Amino acid sequence: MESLQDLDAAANSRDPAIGLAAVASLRQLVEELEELHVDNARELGWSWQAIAEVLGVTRQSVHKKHRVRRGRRGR
Amino acid sequence: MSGVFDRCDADTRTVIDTAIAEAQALGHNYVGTEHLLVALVQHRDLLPTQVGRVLPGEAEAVRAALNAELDGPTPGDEELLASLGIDLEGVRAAVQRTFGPAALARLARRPVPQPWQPWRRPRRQCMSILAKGSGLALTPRVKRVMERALSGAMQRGLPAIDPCALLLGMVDEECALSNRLLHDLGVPPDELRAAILRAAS
Repeated sequence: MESLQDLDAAANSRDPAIGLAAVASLRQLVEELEELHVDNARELGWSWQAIAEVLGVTRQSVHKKHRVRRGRRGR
Repeated sequence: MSGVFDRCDADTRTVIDTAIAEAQALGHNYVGTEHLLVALVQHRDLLPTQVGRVLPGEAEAVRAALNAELDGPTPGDEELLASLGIDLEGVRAAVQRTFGPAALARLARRPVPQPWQPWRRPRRQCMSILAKGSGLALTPRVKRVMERALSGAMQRGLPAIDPCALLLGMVDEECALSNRLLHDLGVPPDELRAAILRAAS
């Protein structure tokens, strides 16, 4: 397992393998945070439209992305 | 955790705990058949002698084969995000405070590869980053293996999955990474299967 210093060094040496993997991790983290917050908003009764506006995306895209996932728990 | 886990005997639970520790030590955010294999090699005393003999000799050799298959050790999400200046533990704590442990547990259980996220590679990225450590993150393949192991154990009249049934379930999961590692280490899965069946009869 690489140590943090090694990774810092790798980041400084601009190793794409580390940089790209870090971006992928960050992207996944963002997705997970989005799920949590969208779920929370829905449970508080927010409409898809309101959620989409705050997220800065279209209602359709929020709906498409989260509706299926939330399908089993309704709405 | 899920139903299948309640149907494991104490030995099998020891093996699974070791596999989880192994996955965490490798910085992986999932538990796959590869980690189960390392755990079984370490706990070969829990298997019938003639089966243990067929298994690869050293856990270290299995780890080396795994590293070769994965193109070297993979830095964990923690380290990768730290390289961007993000403290994953801090994010996790904040989420925990805001939404409670139940929300994290729900993330850990969700069905994963999602069609609108084609960059998510099932092998490395399918399990929740945030939920890591708060629940078992098993690959779908391990779940299948466990189910097969349970029905195999029941056919042999056992009330629960023993380590032997677990190993047989893995061997029978043809595309499992554990089978590829066995191949790499010169242990044909078929030979292992024969040894298990001999031991069981």
